[in-house]
Amino acid sequence: MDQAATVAHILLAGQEDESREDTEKFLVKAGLKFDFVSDGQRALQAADDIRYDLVITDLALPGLNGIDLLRAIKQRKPEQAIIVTSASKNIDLALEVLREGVSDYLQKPLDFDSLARSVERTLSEVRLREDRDRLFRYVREQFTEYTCTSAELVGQRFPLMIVEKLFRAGRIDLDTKLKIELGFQEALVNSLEHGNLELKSEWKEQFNHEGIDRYTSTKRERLQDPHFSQRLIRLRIQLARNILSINIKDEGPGFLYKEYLSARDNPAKLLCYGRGMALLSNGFDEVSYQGRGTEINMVKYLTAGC
Amino acid sequence: MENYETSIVGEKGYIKVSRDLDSEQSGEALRRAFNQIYEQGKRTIVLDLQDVQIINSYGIGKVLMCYKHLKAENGVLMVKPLQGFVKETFELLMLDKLLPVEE
Repeated sequence: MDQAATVAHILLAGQEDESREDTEKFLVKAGLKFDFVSDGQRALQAADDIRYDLVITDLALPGLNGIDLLRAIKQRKPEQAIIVTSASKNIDLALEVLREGVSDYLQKPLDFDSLARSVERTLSEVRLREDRDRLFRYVREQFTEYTCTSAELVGQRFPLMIVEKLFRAGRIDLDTKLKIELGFQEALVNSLEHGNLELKSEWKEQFNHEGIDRYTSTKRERLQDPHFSQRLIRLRIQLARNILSINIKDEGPGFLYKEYLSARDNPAKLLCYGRGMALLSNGFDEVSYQGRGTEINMVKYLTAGC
Repeated sequence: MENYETSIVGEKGYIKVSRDLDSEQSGEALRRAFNQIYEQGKRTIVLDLQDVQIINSYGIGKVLMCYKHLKAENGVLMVKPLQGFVKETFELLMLDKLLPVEE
C-alpha cells in the first residue's frame, strides 16, 4: 500500500465469520483504518454519518442486503467508492452489481493479493478524483496581471499557469490546452516582436552576406536600444466561472490587424503572413483588437465538451 | 548546437526533425539540416515530422522557407504522413495543399 492509502478510512460491512477475521487481518497489516459493521442498516447509517474513502461490503448482509445497501449509498453519495465481495457464483448477480457503478467485485473465498490490488487501485482513483475536485474549486475564479519590459520577455516561454491548472482539474482536454497555449504564445510574440520591437515579417526572408536574416539582426539591435527594449507588455488573465479571457497590450505603433485577420482564409496570403494570427484564432472562441491594434482580447468559453 | 538527422536515398534528401518546432533553436536546426542537403544538389527533400508534437508560426515559417527555396528551382518539399496536432495545424494553415505527402 502506498503512503496515501495508509491514511484511508474504510467501512467494512460483512458477516461475523472467518472471512471477516481474515479481511480485518489484511486491513490491519496494510495499515488501513477501518470500522466494521455486520448489519446492512447499520452499514448505511455509518456511511451516512462518516465520510469513508472506501466501503467494502459483502452481498449477504442481515437487515439490508448488500445490493440494496450499495444502491442506497450510491443514491446518497454517487461518488462513494465501493468494493463488493460475495460467495455467490451467480454471473447475472455479479453483472447487476457491477452495473451499479461499484469499483470492483471480488469472489469469495477472497484472494488477498487480488483484494490488495483492488483496494490500492480504488484508493488511488479516489485520491485522484479528490485532487481534481480540489483543483476544480480552486480554478473557478482567478485574476492575474503582469507587466514586463520587452527585454525581460524575449526568448522566454511565458507560463500560462491557469491553463495548466484547468487541464489538471479536468476542465479542458489536452487538445484544447495545446491550442490555447499555442494561441497565447503567438499573441504574445506578435505583441512583443511586431508591436514593441516593430519587426516586419518580410525581413525574415532578407539575408545579409553572413546569411543572417534581417528580422533576427534587427531584433538583436532593438533589444539593445532602450527605445524598443523598455517598452512594456501588459498582460491580464482572468477566469470567471466558464470564461477565460486574456488581454495583451503593447506600446508599439499598432498594425493593420484586419489585413492579417483576413489572411487566414487565403492560402496565398498565408504563405507570406498571418500564420500566427490564424493559430491564435484557432485557440480561442473570440479574438478582437482595440485601437490601432496595440491591444488584443482573447476569450475561450469553457464548456463541458471542451 | 542541435542537429537533425539527415540522409540521402537516391535523388531524395530526408530530414528527421526530432523535437518540437516552436523555438528559434529548433527552427535554426531545421535550416541547417535543409542547407546541408540542398548544398548537395538535392531538390526533392522530405521532412519527417512524426516526432514533432507542437509546431508554431516560427516553425511553420522555417518549413515555408524550405518550400520557397526549392520551388524557386523547380524542386519539391514533401512531408512524411502527419498526425495529431501537427497535421491539424498544417490543415488549418492550408499547408496540406502545398506540400505533398510521401507515403
